[in-house]
Amino acid sequence: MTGRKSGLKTWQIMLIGIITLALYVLYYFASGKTYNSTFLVYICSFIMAGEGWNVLGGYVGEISFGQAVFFGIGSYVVALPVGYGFNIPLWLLIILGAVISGLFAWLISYPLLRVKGFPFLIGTFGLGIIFYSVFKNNKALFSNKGVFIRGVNSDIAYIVIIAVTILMTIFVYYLANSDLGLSFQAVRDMPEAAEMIGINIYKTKAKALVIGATMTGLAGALYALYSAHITPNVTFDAAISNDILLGSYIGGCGTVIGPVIGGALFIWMQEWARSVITITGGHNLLLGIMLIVVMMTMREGVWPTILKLFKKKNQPAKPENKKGPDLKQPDSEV
Amino acid sequence: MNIVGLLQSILGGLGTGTVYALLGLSFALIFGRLQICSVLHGDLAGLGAYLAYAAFTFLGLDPFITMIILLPIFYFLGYGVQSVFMKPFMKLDTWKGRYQGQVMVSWGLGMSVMALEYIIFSGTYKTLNVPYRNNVIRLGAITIPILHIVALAITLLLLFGMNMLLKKTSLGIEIRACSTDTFTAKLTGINVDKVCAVTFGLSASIAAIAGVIFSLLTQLSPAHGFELTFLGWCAVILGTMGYMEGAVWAGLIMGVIESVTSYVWIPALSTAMIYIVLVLVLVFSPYGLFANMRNGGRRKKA
Repeated sequence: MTGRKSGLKTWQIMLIGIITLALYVLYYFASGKTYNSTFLVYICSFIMAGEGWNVLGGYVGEISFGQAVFFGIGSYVVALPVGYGFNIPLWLLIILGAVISGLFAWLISYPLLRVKGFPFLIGTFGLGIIFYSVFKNNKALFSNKGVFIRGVNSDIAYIVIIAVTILMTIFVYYLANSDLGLSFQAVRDMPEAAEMIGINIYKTKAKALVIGATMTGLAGALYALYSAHITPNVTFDAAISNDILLGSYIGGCGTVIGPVIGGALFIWMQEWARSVITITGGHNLLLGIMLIVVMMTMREGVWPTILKLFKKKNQPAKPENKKGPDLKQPDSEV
Repeated sequence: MNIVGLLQSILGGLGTGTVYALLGLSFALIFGRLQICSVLHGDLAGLGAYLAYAAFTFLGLDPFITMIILLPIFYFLGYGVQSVFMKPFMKLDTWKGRYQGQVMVSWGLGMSVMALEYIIFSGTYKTLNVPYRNNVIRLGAITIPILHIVALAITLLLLFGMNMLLKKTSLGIEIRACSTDTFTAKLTGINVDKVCAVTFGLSASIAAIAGVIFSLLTQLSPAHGFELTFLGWCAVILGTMGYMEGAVWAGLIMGVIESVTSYVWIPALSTAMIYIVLVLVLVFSPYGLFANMRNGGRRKKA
């Protein structure tokens, strides 16, 4: 977890990551809208959505199984006016997409976040199902063909997406170290103590949900801009929520870099598994095995494990006195 | 829309609701009692359904005989899953890694099971054509399929049996002891790990029963496993966590909602309607439908 003291090191690592990414971007930029650049954009939109998931799932500890709802709202806010032929500037639509998915998150925080844990998990999954079936079966929402967005310069969209991904990662880094981010972590680690200091648990969770949903909505809107063809299958499907969630989990939720690494790794793995097992749905076998192996061997995810190895090699002599007061929580909610 | 059709769809909903009720029961057993969290059981039910299908198509075995054969197999499967995959997370605090880890590992297992179904049976819909599938009992204008009656009977019998098991047998007493206070249970000489594994095995057997019933009521597709998992969880939450009967009643109510929606309104929105009802219920009563029955009804609303 990123605390205030280990800030410099994480910052340096982030800088290296950004430079590498920038070089990568420049390398592919020369070649226009190809398979590679489309793949990179796909990864980037999942990284953005995963960072949005991470604000709530990682820092507050409420698992959302329906992050695709916010992703889909973002992309459909861009797509629907275009589909109906309204002449609204696209940048405005993108901002609107982020804002509307944030507002929707604020709306659903009341029923779902009041009781800890499972109502939120199942409720968000249910919202995913509701939105998917509504958008899949309603002809007014272009269910039969999907929406085509034409007239977008894909090079500019490409640069914007990469830049927003990097900016979002930096934003999460600063958020995690701000007072708000620390209150998120307090709610996650010790709700009773947090409540005693004067943190309103429900409001803090709702704030995290709204911030995360806004980020995911922005990701969806930008994805719609680049991919230029939006159907419910690429926005509201449960598989999209799963990809967002699994990427963050494998990378290490509750860290800044985790969703970046995890998202890239997971989307790449998925593509690789699809090329290995070509039967429809069969690629899930490799993904499932990977998930089991990752969770059984490195419980916190790939990135924290790498950091731990790194730390062990460099400074083995430090005594371990990290253990805080071991307060037992009564499981009164369950 | 007439009254007979509505009654018919309500009765049909009770029949399909048994699958959700049984899955809810199995989740309520492991989660409500021992705080083991799993998203695997829907896929286990799907596996059971496919095994029943394979046994009927290739060996000619009746699904109910297959069900009895599957019970011990799934029991040991569940026992193994708990003692290999879920046990490492049991010593963590519930929300500090335990649930997250268990959700992810069981999800990975479920994904693998689903993928195996895809590889072996392919993604096309399969139907289990037993000769008595379309037999009905007529009550005036209303017809009730025999399978629905059998499914309801099995569900109620299992609920009764589980209650008896938890209240009368020594295993039930051990499970209840672990659910109230794991530490004291350990002190009195109860092997908590073993109790957890046995309970998980029992819940896996219930999932197998749900799967066989599911295979008799609808068409099979590997993608159903994941949906069934969440419908089972939905039953647990609608029926109040920690109140085992509630999961069964909520599962039956969900079946009725689904079937009435597809009769009165749009069939494609029937599953979505369940979740709409869930969200609406959570607005008014955050602990579910039977909120004042939590903890066995002894303590009123914590």
